[in-house]
Amino acid sequence: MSGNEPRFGSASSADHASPFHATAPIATQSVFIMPCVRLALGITLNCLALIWGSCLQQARAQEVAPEPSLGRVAREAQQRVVKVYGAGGLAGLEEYQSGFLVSPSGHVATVWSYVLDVDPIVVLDDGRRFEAEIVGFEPALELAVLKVEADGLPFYSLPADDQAGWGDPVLAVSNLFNIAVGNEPASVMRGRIATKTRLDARRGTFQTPYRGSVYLLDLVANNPGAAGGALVDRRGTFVAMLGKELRDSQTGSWLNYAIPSSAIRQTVGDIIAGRKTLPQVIEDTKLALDQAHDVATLGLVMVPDVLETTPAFVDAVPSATAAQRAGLQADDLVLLVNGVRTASQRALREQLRRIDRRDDVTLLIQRDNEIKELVLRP
Amino acid sequence: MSARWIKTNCLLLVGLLSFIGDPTGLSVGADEHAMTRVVRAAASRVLDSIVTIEVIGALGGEGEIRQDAPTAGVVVDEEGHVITSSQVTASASATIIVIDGDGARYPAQVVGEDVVRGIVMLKLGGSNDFPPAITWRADSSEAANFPQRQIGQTMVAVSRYGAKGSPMVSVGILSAMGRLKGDALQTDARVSPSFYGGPLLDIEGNVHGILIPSAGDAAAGGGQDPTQWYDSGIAFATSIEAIVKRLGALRAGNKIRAGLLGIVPAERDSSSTNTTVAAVRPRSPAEQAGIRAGDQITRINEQPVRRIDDMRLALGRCDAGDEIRIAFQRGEEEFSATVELVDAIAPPRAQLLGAFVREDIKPGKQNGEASIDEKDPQRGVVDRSLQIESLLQDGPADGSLRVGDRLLRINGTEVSSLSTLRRQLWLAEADEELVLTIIRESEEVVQNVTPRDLAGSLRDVYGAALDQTESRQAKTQGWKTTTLRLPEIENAAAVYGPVIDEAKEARRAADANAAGGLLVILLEPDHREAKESLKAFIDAAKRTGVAVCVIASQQEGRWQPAEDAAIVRLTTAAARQCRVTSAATAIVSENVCRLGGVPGPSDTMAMGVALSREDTYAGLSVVPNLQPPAVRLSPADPIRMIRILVPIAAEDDRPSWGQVLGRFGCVIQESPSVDAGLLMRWLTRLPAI
Repeated sequence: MSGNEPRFGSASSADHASPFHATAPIATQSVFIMPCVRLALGITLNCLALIWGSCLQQARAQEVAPEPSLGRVAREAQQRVVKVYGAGGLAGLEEYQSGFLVSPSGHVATVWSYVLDVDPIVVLDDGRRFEAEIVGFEPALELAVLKVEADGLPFYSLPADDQAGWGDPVLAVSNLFNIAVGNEPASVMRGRIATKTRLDARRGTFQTPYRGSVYLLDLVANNPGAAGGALVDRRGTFVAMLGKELRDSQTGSWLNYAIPSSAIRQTVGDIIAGRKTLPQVIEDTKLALDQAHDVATLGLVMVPDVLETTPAFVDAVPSATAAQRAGLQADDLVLLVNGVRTASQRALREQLRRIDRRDDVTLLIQRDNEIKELVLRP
Repeated sequence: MSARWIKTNCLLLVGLLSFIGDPTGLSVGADEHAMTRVVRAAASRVLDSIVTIEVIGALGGEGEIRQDAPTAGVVVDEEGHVITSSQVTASASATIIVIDGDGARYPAQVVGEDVVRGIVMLKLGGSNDFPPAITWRADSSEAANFPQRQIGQTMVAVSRYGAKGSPMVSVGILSAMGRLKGDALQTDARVSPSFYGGPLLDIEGNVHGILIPSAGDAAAGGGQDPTQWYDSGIAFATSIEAIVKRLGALRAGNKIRAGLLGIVPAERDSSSTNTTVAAVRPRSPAEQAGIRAGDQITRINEQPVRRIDDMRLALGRCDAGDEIRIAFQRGEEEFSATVELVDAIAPPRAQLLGAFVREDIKPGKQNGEASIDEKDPQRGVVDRSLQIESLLQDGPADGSLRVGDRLLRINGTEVSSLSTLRRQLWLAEADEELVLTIIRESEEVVQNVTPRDLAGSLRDVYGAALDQTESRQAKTQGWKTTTLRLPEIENAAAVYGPVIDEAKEARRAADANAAGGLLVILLEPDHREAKESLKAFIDAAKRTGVAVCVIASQQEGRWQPAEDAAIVRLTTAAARQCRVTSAATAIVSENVCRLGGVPGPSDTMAMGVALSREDTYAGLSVVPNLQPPAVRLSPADPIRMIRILVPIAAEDDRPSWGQVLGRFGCVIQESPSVDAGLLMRWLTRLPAI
C-alpha cells in the first residue's frame, strides 16, 4: 500500500503520539521565552491581546484540523534577520545582503563581501535604519561582524555544537533578491538539510577560502542577497549562516549551502569581545617549484596533455625512479593523489605542487580492471 | 492524551501571548521531527546500495553542468551491476570509477544503455566483493509487485555527496506520472546533478524510479540541455517498472532504442481523432504487418487507440525489438498483426510524379467554392476529387496523364486526399512503376508512370521548364506592399502580394490574382527595415507571380530561437492574405537570395523554424555552411516533408547536415546558383506531386 503516509499531527495514531509528547514541552518553553523579548510592549497590550487572542483561538478550535504552522519560529527568525546595504551595484553585482543579530546590543553577523567596502546601512526588522560600523572580519571564514547603536534587540545565540543532520527541516531567512524593501520583513523559505559535508581542501572545487563543514540544502536558498541570512531549525534554534553564491566546480551547479554555527561561533565571539583573532592558516598553499614534487621528481612520464581534461594516464616509467620502485606501469590511470581526486592531468600537476618533495606520495591508480594503491618514496 | 488536550490546556496561556506566537506552532515541531525520522529511515534502507560515479577525462559540454560531474548509481545485483543515468555517458570518457559508501573504488564499464529512458547500466570490476544490491521494495517478499503511487505523495530523492560520500536527500512530492515518452515520473523535489542516477523513494523506502537529467520534450517547450532544469522543482525519474523490465536486456549488453513502426498518419495534428494512415514507409514493420495507406489504426497491444497522441504514447513505451500487436480497420474489415519494432527504417526517397493536382471538396455543391479545410472533422463525409490541373513539362507524368484527369487509385489503393497523395509519393519506392487509375472523360483508365527522385540537382528534377519565366505581369496587377502587424509580435514584417479585401464581392477577384506561392525571407539581424528590404524582390515577384514576405528579427544583432512562433504567425497571416497554402510556402534566408551568400544568423533561424514547425513550410533554402540550429530530432518523430534548396554545384558538395536531415525525410535539392528569381520559380513547382 502506498499513499497511506502517517498523517502527522492528527494524533490519531499511537505511533505518532510519542514524538508529539516528547516535543511539546520544548515548544511550550519557547513560548515562555517570548515575554522577555517583548516586555517593552507593555501591559495594556497584553490585556487587549487576551481578549483578541481568545476570540481567535475559539475561531480556530472550530476548524477541523489546523495546518501545522511554523509561524512562531518564522516570525522570530524574521525579527533577528537584518538587511545590509552597501557598496556594489557595479558590474551586475548586488549591493545588498543579509545578516542576523548576535547580541541584544546590535551586533550583526554577516558575510564578508564587497557590499562591506563602505560602511554599510543596516535595516532592522522593525524598519529602523542604522549606519553600521564594521567591528571586525575574518576573511578565512568570509565572516564579518557589524554593530548598530541599538539595545534590547532580539538575537540568536550561536550553539557550539551542530545538532542538525541530513533530512532535518529548516527555515532559511534572508532578504534574497532584495524583495523585502523598506521595512518589510525578510523572506522565509522552508526545506530540509540535504547533507552535511565538507568543503574540501582541494583547490578549485569551491571558489571560497572557507574550508570546513557545510550544510547543503534541498531548497534554493542561496540567491543574490541571501548571503548572511539565517538557517534555523524547527524549534527556532540557529543552525547556520547562508553562504555567498557559489558554484560547485565539480558539477558546475549552484550550491545551496550554509556555514554551521560551530564554525563561526568562536570568531563571532572574539570579534565582539574585541579579542584579536588570527586568521586561520589556509593549509592549501603551493610550494616553491624547487621544493614541491612534480612528475619528474617522481619519475612519471604522462601522456601528452592536449585537453583541459586529459586524464592522468602514465605514458612511461623510467627506471630507477620512485615511480618504478613503487611498481607503477605505463597506461596506469591516476585516480587519487594522497586521497584527493585527480580529475585530470592538470589537476595532478596542481596537486603535486602542494606536496613537499621530501615526502612520500600515495597514488590510487586504475590498471585495466583493477584499482591499486602505490606509495612513491622519493 | 491527545493534541487537543494539550491545546486546550494551553489555551489561556496561548491566548495571552497570541499576538506574538502562533498556537498551532505547538504541534509542528513534532510533525517535522517525525517526518525527519521517516525520511532518514527511508533513505537508510537503500543507502548501502547507493554509489557515487565519477567520470574521468570527459570532455566539457556546452551546458552549465560539467560533463564529469559526480553523480549517483544503484547496485542492482550481486555481480556488481549498477544502474545510473545517461549523465554518465553524456560524453566520451577515459574511464568510469564507482565509489561505495565506505570509500572503496571500483573501475566500471558501460554494459547497456536505454537511450529512450536515460538509463545506463555499469558493471563493476576489480573485485568480487561489491556493495549490497538494492531491494526495490521495502517489503521484499513482494519483489514482483511494484509499489502503488499517487500524485501528491511525498517522495525522497537519495544520493551521496562529497569526498566522504555523505548521505544526501531532497524531499518533495510526486507531481505526475507517465511523462516524457510515457515511463517517467515527475517530482518537485529539488534535484541537483549529484542526484542523477540515484533513486526516488516513497517514505516507506520503496524505490519508484531512478532520477535522470531531462528538460522535457523539445516539442513541449523543453530545452536542448537535459540538465538545465536542475534544482527547478521539475525533475524526472524513469519508473522502476520500466527499468526492471529491461534489466535482462541491459545486462545482456543491449542498447535499447525507440521502437519504430513506420506509419505516417494522415493528420499532422497529434491530438486529432483521425488515426488513418496516410502512407507506410517502405521496408518498415508496418509494411510487414500488411498495413496500407488508408487503413485506420484501432488498437495497439490490445489498448484502444483513438488519437494520434495515443499511438505515440503506446509506441513510446515499446523498444526496438519488441513485438507489438496492432489492429487496424480497412473499410468494414478488421485486421490485426504482430510485428517486431525496429530501431531504424531506411530513409525515404521522395518521388515526383510531376503533376499539379487540385483537390475539390464537394459537399453537394458543384462550384468548387467550398473552402478546403484540412482540419475539418467532417471531412469523412464529403466527396473529394483530385483533378490534374497542369503537368510539369518533361516530368514523369507528362504524356501519361492529361489535364482534367481525375486520380482514383495508386497501386490499387484509393487516394483519399491531396495530403495523403503527397505522403504516398514521399514514401514511394524509388525506380518502381506506379499504377495509376484515373477517370478520363468518364472512363476508367489505367496508366503506368515511373516517378523520379525528388532529391538531386534542381535541373534534373524539374527539367528545363525551371528556367522559363512565364509572364504573370497581368496577374500581379494590383499587388501592393503592406506592413504586416500582428498583436504581441514585435518583428517588423512587410508583404508584397495581393491586398486583403474582406468584402465578399472582392473574394472572387482576389482568387483570380491569388499568388502562385509565398516566399518568406528572414532578414539578417542587422537589417531592420523590412519594407525597404522588400523592394529588392518586387521585380522578381512580378515576373513569377510569387508573393514575398520579409521579416526582421525582434532585436538588432540577433535572432532568438523563441522567435519561431512569431515567424510562423506572420507567415500564416501572409499566406492567408495571398491565398497560398503551405504546400506553396517556403522560408529562406536573406543571404541565400544573394549570389554567393555568406551564412549568418538568418540561415540558422530559417532552418530552425522550418524543422521545428514542419506544418508551415514545404520548402527551405539556406547557405550550406551555416551554423546548424539546436533542434532535437528523434527518429520516432513524424517524417519532415521539406525540400531544402542549397546553392551548391554538385551532390558531392552537399553539407554534412544534409544526410542527417535526409534520415528524417527532408529532401535536399541543389542548384549551382540561387537568386530570388530562381527561388520563386522553384517555389511555384513545390506543390507538384
